[in-house]
Amino acid sequence: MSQQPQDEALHPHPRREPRFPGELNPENLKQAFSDCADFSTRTALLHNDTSRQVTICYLSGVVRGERVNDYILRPLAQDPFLAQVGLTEAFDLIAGGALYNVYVQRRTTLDEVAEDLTTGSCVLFFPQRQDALTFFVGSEEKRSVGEPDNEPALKGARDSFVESLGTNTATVRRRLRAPEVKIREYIVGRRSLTPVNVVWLDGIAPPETVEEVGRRLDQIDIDGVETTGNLEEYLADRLHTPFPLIAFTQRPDRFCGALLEGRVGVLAEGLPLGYLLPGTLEQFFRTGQDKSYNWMVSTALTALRYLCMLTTLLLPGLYISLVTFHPEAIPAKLALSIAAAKQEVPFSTIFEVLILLIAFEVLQEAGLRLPAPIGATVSILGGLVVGNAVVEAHIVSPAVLIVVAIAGISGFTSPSQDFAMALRLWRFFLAVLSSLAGLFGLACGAAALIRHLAGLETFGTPYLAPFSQGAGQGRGKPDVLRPPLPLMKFRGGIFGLPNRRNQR
Amino acid sequence: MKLRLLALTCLLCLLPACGWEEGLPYAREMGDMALLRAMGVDGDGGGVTVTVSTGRRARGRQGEEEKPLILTAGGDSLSGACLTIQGDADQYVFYGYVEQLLVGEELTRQGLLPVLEYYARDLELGLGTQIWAVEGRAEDALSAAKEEGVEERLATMRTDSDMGAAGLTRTAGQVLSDLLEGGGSYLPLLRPTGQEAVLLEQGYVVLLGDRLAGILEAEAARGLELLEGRAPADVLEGKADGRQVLRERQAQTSFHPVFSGETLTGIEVSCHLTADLVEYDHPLTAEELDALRLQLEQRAQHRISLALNALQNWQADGVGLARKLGMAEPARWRAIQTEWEAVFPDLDIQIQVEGEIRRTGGAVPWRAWSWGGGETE
Repeated sequence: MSQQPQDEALHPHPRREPRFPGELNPENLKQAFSDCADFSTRTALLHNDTSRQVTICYLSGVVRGERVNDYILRPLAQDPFLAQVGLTEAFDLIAGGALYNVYVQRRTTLDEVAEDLTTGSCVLFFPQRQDALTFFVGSEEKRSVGEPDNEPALKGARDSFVESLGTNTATVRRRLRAPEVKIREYIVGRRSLTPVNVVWLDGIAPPETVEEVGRRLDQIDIDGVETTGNLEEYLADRLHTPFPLIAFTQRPDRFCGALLEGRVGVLAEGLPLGYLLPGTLEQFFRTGQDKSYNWMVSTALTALRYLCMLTTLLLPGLYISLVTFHPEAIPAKLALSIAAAKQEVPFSTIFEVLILLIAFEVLQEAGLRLPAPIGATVSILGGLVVGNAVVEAHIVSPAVLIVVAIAGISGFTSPSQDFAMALRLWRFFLAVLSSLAGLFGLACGAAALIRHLAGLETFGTPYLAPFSQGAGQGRGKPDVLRPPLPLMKFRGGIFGLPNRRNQR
Repeated sequence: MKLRLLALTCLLCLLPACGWEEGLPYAREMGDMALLRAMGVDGDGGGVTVTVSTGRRARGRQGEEEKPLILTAGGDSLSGACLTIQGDADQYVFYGYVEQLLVGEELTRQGLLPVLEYYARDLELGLGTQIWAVEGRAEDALSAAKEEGVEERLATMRTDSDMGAAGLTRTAGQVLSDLLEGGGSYLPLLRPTGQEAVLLEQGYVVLLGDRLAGILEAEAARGLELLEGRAPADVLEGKADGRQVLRERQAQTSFHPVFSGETLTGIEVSCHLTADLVEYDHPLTAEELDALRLQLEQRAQHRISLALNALQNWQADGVGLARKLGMAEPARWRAIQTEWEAVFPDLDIQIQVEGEIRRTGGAVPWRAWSWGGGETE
């Protein structure tokens, strides 16, 4: 309890409250938005009565002009009912719904009004009053719902989350129509004031997790949420790990599936994805399609992903270990082939593997940063032309090229690129350990990795669940593979769920 | 976290001072190694001569084949000779891929145990190595094939043996365990033949202790294979009119001790031999098949008898008969082991062979098998 005040004492980051002091009136609001070219203000007459003048303020571009005209200016000028009443009564009538607008709020502070203006509201000031009315007339320009680029579907829904929070929550509501779907809103970012929604299924998600997510969101004190890391790194339990502790998805169907498993979702304005908490290891090996395919196919594919994970992680280190330290463990004919190819290569195996691993990363990074057509060219140039040239020039042996390529391609089978990137980092570490002490080094590195993963925890759930269990807590249902759906009678791999059974 | 990093750094700094390199494997580049495939060991009076061969080697990505690298060195001990080879070689000589061991005739007389124990103890060599005895010197056998090497030939022999198309092959581990458990063993014998000294199977060297007791060749060698429950890679051509050829496929041999009171007096050997009718020029009648089966049984009986008589004469239990009898009569295991050496040469041996001919389809007209003894055509 005393941690937060102590932190503030050590690392002061005072917030000015209120942000805009002073009375609520058009002049002070204009001053608050001084040097803002998009701040607009105009006066209007109630039913063309020059003695009854009101002031309207808005941010052009943020609001939609037609809405201001149709829903505010036109009723003010033409509504005969407003012509018959005084200013005070007119204010009350408008606050009560005399203007056709769903969103009308009575505001009493400059801070509230300023916030409304930035989110697309228009402010209506009446003379001689310390309060004002705000109406939402925002432009609501947004990208249309498209296909999820990172998680394509061969069989299943093709919609994805977009940057608009409202659209995303509506998408979730359309899939899960139960009123038990709860959505709690938090504002994150001093400058960005980004709305962040916590979504969960009441009665299924652990209430402690919901509260913990809310507490961590409340504690975030940053300028703005401009990237995904702004939320992830503040919500995660540990920062000193390359492994993702929070899963994310672009697919609403997968997001809703996770809510049904008892996970807690987080959606943020401006981010076209949804976070799923807690993120456990097996979640990073699942795809949204797993339940769409035949269970045997899905099980085989899941097993293949685990195998590829081991391949991408261990293969370079294993190759270094066997070729450099333990050649007797290689079958004779393979050894003869490797030795023959290695004879004219001037570099050591260790150097070859490490250099090629780095080159692979460079190629991948270059391909990602460039526009798609050029990126493909870089891949072809780097992968085929340069790869073939270095082998022809006897700079690296073909076996090393094959090993690094297999390790790299195996990494791409991971449904979570965050997890794959963590594996790539550890791959280097294991390769270095292997080059120091062969299989002994590789085994030590693998043990260190398991130790590291076993030590991770995310929102009270062991990261390795359902492979491992927490202290004093039962293990979650170990659905590592995908059994037939009628047999999956319990919810996923996290524990502490108030309601575990999901079907008869 | 900082403390952990500090502790890890200190540990890494301290480990070299504690001599940690000694406990870790050392790095070697495969491109700089001569990967040895075969080794030959000859006895030279008190010392040994070691010959090693890489077999045909590939160089570069195109796999251009080079001649085998063959190195020879002598010494008072195996390790001394191997060390000399290491000193003579231009590359690091790696013994981890030695899969074939040829031992010279003289060494089989001197004793094989030191070589087998060396294979058991050495870090790079292993007891899974195939072992053959060579008539004459192993050095000559390895050096004779300077262009091609003997490795492919030996590897083929082993594969053929696994598939039943050649005689028995043995590993150093099998021979060593036989010697340690029963005091006798056997290993296949090769003879360099022709100008190119092609190695051909010649029979089996039977060891008493770790030294040569005798050589089983021809029919007696086939008898040893039957005693080991292995059908010889052989055919039987029928004596009757026409062409009738049997190919021996499977053999199952069991041993039972015969006691007179508490004294072991004999052995009953039962062999079930299965053969396929692989060639014939006319459909065989039941009588013809019976005659063929009898011929098969008599030949097998003769072979087994030859092998057992030779073993009795040499007093060498090369096939582990004592162990097999003990397993057949576990209650008298100890009695058999105790008196075995004394009684083995004089044991009365009864051999019973049961032959079975398969794949006779079409050889016998179907009416011969019809219910009710229907007429045959």
